Formats: sequence, structure tokens, C-alpha cells
Amino acid sequence: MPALLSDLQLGFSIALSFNNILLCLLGCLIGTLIGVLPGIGPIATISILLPFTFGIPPVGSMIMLAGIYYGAQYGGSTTAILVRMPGEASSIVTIMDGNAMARAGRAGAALALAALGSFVAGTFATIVLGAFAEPLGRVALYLGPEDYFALIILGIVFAIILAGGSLLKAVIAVLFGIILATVGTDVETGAQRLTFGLPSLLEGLNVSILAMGIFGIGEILHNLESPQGRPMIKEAIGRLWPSRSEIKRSTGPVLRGTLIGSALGILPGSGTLLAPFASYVLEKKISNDPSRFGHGAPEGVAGPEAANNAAAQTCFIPLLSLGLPPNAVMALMLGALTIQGIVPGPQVFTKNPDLFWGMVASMWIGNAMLLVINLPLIGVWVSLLKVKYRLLFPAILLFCCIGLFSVNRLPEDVYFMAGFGVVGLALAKLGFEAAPLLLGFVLGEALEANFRRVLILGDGDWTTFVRSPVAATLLLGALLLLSAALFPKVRKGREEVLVEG
Amino acid sequence: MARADIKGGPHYVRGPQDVVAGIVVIVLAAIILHALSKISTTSYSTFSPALFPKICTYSIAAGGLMLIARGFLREGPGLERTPLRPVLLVTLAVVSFGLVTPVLGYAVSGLILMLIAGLAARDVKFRELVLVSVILIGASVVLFTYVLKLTMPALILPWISL
Repeated sequence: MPALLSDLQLGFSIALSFNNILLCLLGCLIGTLIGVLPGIGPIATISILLPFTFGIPPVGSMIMLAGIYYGAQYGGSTTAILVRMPGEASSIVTIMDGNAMARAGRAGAALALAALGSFVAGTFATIVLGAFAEPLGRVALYLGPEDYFALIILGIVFAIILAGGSLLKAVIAVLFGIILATVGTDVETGAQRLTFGLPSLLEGLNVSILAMGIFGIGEILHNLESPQGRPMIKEAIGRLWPSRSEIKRSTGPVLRGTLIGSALGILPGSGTLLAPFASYVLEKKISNDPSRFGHGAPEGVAGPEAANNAAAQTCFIPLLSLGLPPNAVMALMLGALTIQGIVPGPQVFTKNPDLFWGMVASMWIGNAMLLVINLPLIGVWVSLLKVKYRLLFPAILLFCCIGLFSVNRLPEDVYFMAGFGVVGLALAKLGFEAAPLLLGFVLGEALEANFRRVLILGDGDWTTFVRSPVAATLLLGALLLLSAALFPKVRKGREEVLVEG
Repeated sequence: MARADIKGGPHYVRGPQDVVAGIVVIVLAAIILHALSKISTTSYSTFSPALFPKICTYSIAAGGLMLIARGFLREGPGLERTPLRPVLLVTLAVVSFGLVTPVLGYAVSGLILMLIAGLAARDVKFRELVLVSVILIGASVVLFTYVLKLTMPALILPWISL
């Protein structure tokens, strides 16, 4: 405990430096902005900003990027409550009761409950992150290559199961992502793999090109197809402070949502999507009067909002302690760290303690900032909702292009981005999710490196993969999970949850 | 790619999206395998650098076959029509950005990008688009060239450069 306190003290001393406070604020503002705006999410935004983080010190860039991610969770709920549209995918659940409250003239209270719930959850999740990441990292130091290989496989299986849509297609998407990761000059043999004679592919594909293409451009192409109705805010926001009974009813859901979110965030997969849904289902189940849900029950706003914010923070644990990103946003964070020359994993705590603790402390500061950004300043964000998509998307496109071009000043990078944009659209048309592909891409390199190490250490003996009890258990777990997901009953349940969510 | 609804297609195809996805996946896997087969395995390393990607690609191909089979056996979603206009305009906009930036700088290419891309919206209003583009380009030059100091030419003209 005293160690934790002194670590946190170190963290706050870093996070409270002038530049880092500014970067944290910037991240939270950008996060709220893109959270409020439907049509652009944290994945696209972070990939657009990746090239610009090159010039910022590692701690500062992580503080800013993290701020964007959890800031988007706050902003997304604003749009969900006020215009019955998910600003972010993770705020879909909030629409049901949040918008019902708004229609009953309690929009202000719903916004306040969402923000306060998120704040409580964020504070708790920060402590979880600080307390659990390092011990987990210490355990990770004892893992051999076969254990790491098995761990990555287990992570991928989790991500596949928790991804929406077809299981089979998610598997294929992950595999394609892994294949894309092998493009370029092989580090160990110097062989050129899948470069198709293109010199710009010799160094491999850049994560920001892939992410900007598939998520940034691909989403634009997808949105342009369906004419979006202009979001309308009909009701007045009303008094911001929730009533005493609303606060009383929300306390339990916030605490339970925080716990659910913290736990689900650590699991690989889309924790921020699943956690609010799990919280909503739980609250509805234990409620004395489930019929109020869907008609403006404050529990249905406070619980899920707390859950998604907690998950948005604890999902940093596997990234920082094991070097394994549990979702697509964390995959980009891994990219951001790699650009800075930092390899996430157990050694982060000893080599870059300032990075880890600075980020943890900044999350708490950021959550406090977001409370101010989102409640008293709500009017600003509401007016931004009036920006029309026909002007928003050329601007997004412009920032994608300038950002990408500024890195290498190669026109080919931009062409590749456009190409992946079309790929992203095609994926959506054929029913594939893009997030597993990106996750596969980011994990691919580590997966192959460990795969090779195992084979070399075992002298080509394939049983080496299951020789260590840890690896065998993890692989068995992955196999059981995957086969359980194929069972008709489980499959149906999974589809119900994820389709509705 | 998806050109039109294949509702009028053969009736034994119950999930057209799955069948087409499966075919696309198998074609891609074949291309990848072909490219991987060209990697020389004469390196001193014990394992071919193509081994790992090959395992993944064979799994992908197997997945593709399963998708096709599923498309014949189980009811599934059909294919949606894809309007080509936004795809072509957005791609054209990005490509022209890549072509023009090294020659004239991003102030010019960015303007071209926004004007071409903006046409992809159904409710485009050209005067509004021009106005917003000019303002946004101006703001970008201030932000990227003067504040963030990106080493990227904003404007290259024979007689002037920023």
C-alpha cells in the first residue's frame, strides 16, 4: 500500500505538469467532441492523431490519447440522451432510458447521472488499474514464449467471441489481420513477404494507414450511403441536478456497473460495448419493478454509463502489463507506444514507471475535467450536434490525409489508405467486422515471433506448444471457449446480446 | 463486389452474402498463397519465413469454404446495393491529394480534396462547401505549419513557398 501511494505521488507529479494537464484537457475535449458527433469514433480519431503524437513525449501522447478514449465515452452519452442516436457504439444502451428521461423533461438529470456515474466509475477503475497492472506484469515476467503464444491465442478467442456478428467471419478477419502483419521484410530471415514488388511495403504496413483506411475512410463511405437524418433536439435540457430519489436509485447501479465494467474491461474483446449491456440486463433483473426500464428509469442510465467508463479504463491493464491490446483502440495505443520506441509489457513498470503512473494519475484528473466539460458546458456540445455530416466528412478526410502524408511524405501512404477504405466498405458489405482484423494485425507480430521461438527452442517439436502447464491450460481454455460458443444455446444467447447491443 | 441484390439469383443459395464472402475469401487466400510460394526457402534459418503465414492462409481458405457451405445451408442476409458515386469521389479526392501535394503543397491539394469529396454528399451545397473548405484549409495551415511546425510544404508556387 505505501508503495502504491508513493507511485501515485510520482504519477500525479508527472500528470500535473503544465504540458501534461494541457494535453489531458486537449484529449478530453477532442474525446467529448468526437463522442458527441455521430459518424466519427475514437478509433478513427486516434489513428488520425497517431502521426502527430510523434513529436510529443511518450507520457504526454499517451495521456492525450487515453483522454480521447474515455472522453468519447462521456460525449457519446450526450448524443444518446438528447437525440436518440448513439454518438458512440458504447452508448447504445443509454438511448433506451436516457432518451426516455429526456422526453419526460429530465434530460438534464439524465446527463448528470451519466456524467456522475462515469466519474465514480472512472475513479474506481483508475485505482484498479494502479493496483492490478503491476502485479500482473510481474507474473508475466515468468511466462515463456509458449505461454505468451497461448495467451495471445486465448485473447484472440475472447475477442472473437465478444465481437458482434458471425463467429466464423470474425475468425477469418483476425487471420487476415495476422497475414497483413507479416507483410514486409521478415526480421529474422530478411525474406520479403507479400510485398508484391512494391518498395513502400518493404517496411511493412503501418498501423495508422490500416486503421485510418478501414475505420476512418471506410466509415465515411458507409455513412455516405445511408442518408442521415439531421439530429433534432426537441426537448429543453431542464435542470441539471437529479432529484434525491433519482440519486438514491442510481447509487447501487453505479457501484455494480463499475464492478462489471472493471471486470469486463480487462477481458479481451469489446469490453466497453459489452459492459453497459451486462449492467443494464443485471439492473433490470434485480429491479423490483422491471417494467419501468425503457420508460426513463434512472438506473438504466447510471449503471451502463458507469460500466462503459470503467471498462474504458481497465482495458489498459492487459495492454500495459502484458503488452497485449484487448481491443482495437488499445491496439492503436500499442502502435502509439511503438512509434515512441516503448515496448509495452512487464518491463514498462521498471523501465518507464513515469509513463505508467503518469497515465494512471492523468485518468483521474481527466475524469474530473470531463465532469466540468460535460455538465456546465453541455450547451456548447449540443450546438456542435448541428454540424452537418456533408461538411464533417470532407474535414475528417482532410485531417486523415494531412496527418498521414506528414509522416513519410509519401503519396503511396495516402493511396494505401484510400485502398483500405474501400476494403473497409467491402468488409462491411460482406458482413465482416473490422475490429477483429485490426486486433489480429497488431497481435500478429508478437504471435509469429513467439510461434517461432517455441519451434526453435523445441527444435521443431510441435508438442512444445503444450509442454508448459500454463500454456496447455490457456490453450485448452481457448478451445473450450470457442467450442462453447458454437453450442446452439450459447450461440443464440451471444447473438441476442450482441445484436441488441 | 456487391453490385446488386442477388435476390433473383439461384434459389438454392440461401445466404448470398455468405457465399460471396466465401468466394472473395478463397480468391484472396489463393493470391496470398501464390505470393508466399515465391519466397525462397534456401535461407539458413530452420523454418521457412513463409510457414506461419501459410498456416494462417490455409485456415482462411478453410474458413472460406465453410462460409460457402453455410450460405447454401442456412438462411442468411442478402447483398446490399453499393452506390458507386461516394466510393469513386472519395477515392478520387484522396488520390488527387497524393498527386498534387508534392507539387503544389497541401493548401492546394487539401482544397481540391475537400471540393471533390464534398460532392459525394447527397445534400451537397457547393457555395457552403467552398466557404468551409477555404476556412478549414486556412486553419490547417496555421495549425500544422505554424503551430505544430510539420515539415510539409503548405504551398509551393514557382515564385513563393510557405
